[in-house]
Amino acid sequence: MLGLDLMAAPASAIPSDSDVAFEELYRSSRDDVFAFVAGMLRDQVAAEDVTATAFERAYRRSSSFDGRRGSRRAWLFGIARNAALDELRRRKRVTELTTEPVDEGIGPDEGAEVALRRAVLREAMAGLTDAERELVGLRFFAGLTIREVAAVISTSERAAAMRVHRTIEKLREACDGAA
Amino acid sequence: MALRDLWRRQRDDGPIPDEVQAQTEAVDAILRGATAPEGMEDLDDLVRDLRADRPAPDQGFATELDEWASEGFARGGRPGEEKRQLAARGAGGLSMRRLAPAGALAATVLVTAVAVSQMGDGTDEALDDGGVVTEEVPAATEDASPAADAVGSASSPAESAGQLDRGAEREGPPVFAVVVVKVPSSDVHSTRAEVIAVARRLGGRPASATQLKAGASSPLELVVPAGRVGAAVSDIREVGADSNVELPREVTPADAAELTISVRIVAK
Repeated sequence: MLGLDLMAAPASAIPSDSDVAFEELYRSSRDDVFAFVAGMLRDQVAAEDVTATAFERAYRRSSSFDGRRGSRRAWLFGIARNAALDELRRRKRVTELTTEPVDEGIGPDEGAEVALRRAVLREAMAGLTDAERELVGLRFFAGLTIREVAAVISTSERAAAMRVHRTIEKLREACDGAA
Repeated sequence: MALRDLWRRQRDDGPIPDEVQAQTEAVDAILRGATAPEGMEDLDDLVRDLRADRPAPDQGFATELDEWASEGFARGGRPGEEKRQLAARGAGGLSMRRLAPAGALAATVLVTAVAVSQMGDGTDEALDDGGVVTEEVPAATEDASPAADAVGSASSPAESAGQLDRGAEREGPPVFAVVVVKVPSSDVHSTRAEVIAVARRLGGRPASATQLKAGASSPLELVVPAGRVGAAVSDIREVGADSNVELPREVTPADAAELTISVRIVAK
């Protein structure tokens, strides 16, 4: 167990519902937030920094969470998205950092067919726009529902579903074209 | 303009097309671990492949983040400070800015070239311990920042150029960084041993090239896991109280399975 003591409260204090909720959120979302952010930034070090920033901000703003506006998970990913966008803007403003592609190492358990298919998919991913890559990160890397995706990117469920659909079709076409 | 906005609002508030809805539900099912409905097998492959390739956090970072969280995200306990400093110093691009997706082969880093230097009369002097050679590193060279300069003051110009020229002549992995550690002359040999120990502690080992070139002014090469390159540089720097890191101008190839860190131990 992680044993979070997020409020740094005296040992005798009873954690509030908010503390417990945040701890659960942290536990269930840590790797998902990193995966989403890393997918956007394609930069290991920056992804770690932004992930840490996102959780810190979320923790400090946990009292601002309003359940009527969406799930706690969508709220967290909205914070992570803003932090990642800040990082992207900072990069463009400060310097043109070279963005290295995702390490395309083939897992030891991959068969030849799967390895080839995934190599093609990675190439297709490289052809996505930043906005499309963001959708892939939210939907597939982080596993958010369409409703949550819509909340994170501030659009309607229909628009979110359509955008994800178009991104999937774009990936499919790219994969089919390369096959 | 207003009409367009109205049209968009009506469109966005409308029902999701059946085809899109079916695909959405299928993706939801696959993400939950179920199989895709009949006729959507390729979607099943696509989603699973995307999931398999999703970036995963480095275990060291995850542990640090957990600890920071357990401290209530206290000021000063932020994880990854060393990595950020290294990244900031290598604004042209660092190999650490690579994702390590789950399932990727564990790469290794080759930690190379403990070219030990100390003040002398300008000629290299081979010592009896593995050919450790010492020479002075002029302050001006130290201040010249670019890694080429730092290595350029190593014992052999040809070797030094080779260390930084990732593509030409030198065998082995490309150079990741040059670490200069300054220690009292009496500590040169023990420091060398400590540097090797650092690599071993991180799962590394001396590379064969090191043993082949065990003569005077020869580099010492060590292999450590790539995922621990930040820790390797950090720990090597901590071996001496006075150290700095130089980063080569060239971007480390993203597909490099191994990388080289050049460590110079300089006698103060």
